[in-house]
Amino acid sequence: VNHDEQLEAWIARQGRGPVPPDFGERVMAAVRRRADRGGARDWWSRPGLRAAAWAAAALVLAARAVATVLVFWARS
Amino acid sequence: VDEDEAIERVRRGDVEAFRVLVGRHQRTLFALARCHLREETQVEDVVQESFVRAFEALETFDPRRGTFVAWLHAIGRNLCRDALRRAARRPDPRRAPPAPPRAGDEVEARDELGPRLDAALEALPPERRVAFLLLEVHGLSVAEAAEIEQVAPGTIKSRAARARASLRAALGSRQEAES
Repeated sequence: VNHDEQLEAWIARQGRGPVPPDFGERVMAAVRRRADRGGARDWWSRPGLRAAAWAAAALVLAARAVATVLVFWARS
Repeated sequence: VDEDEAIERVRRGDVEAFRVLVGRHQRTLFALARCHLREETQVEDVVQESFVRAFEALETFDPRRGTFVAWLHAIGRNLCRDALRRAARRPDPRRAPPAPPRAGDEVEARDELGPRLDAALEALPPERRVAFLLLEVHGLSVAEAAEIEQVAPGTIKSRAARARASLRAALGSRQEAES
């Protein structure tokens, strides 16, 4: 018995065919839906803009802290 | 359109440029998912979700740390593992056990090889099983399989050859047991 022939016959039965023809369109539809849904938070996912937002928030807090110290110092 | 250019266009907000990446990588991503999952609907779900996750996370892709192919297929591999974990937690009650083969029927005797080879394949180390399936069953080139698995082409070839030798040995042991 030829084992290679048996193995080749089994391998031939394992194949599951090509990618479904409309698959690319289905993926693009899902991607478009996700893009529409995620549009509002897109800016937040950009590393530069996110860092800038954090820096601005930190600056505001620092300014408030300095102002509080100055007011306290002026009154004392 | 070049792949790098398509990635850059998607990053700038051109959603339709993602079509280039889907068209270029869907075949290999299907092959990878089919190595891990049996149900075709599960395969399609995982491949689609892999592309959607890649689209969402494209900003985090850094070409200095690896190729887009490797990054995309790593997403696919992780989603396959998640799907297998979920399936293990919830066994499908509709799936009936395979019927036992009847003796004396030549066709049935040939089909007996199937379960034996399936079992031998399952018993292989995962990296050998995947290399064998990618090359021999799903028809990927050595270069494609090597890029997906992030190893040298020679490593893929030797893994697939060792898997084939193990499967041949499983056939041999069957005949020895019968004689």
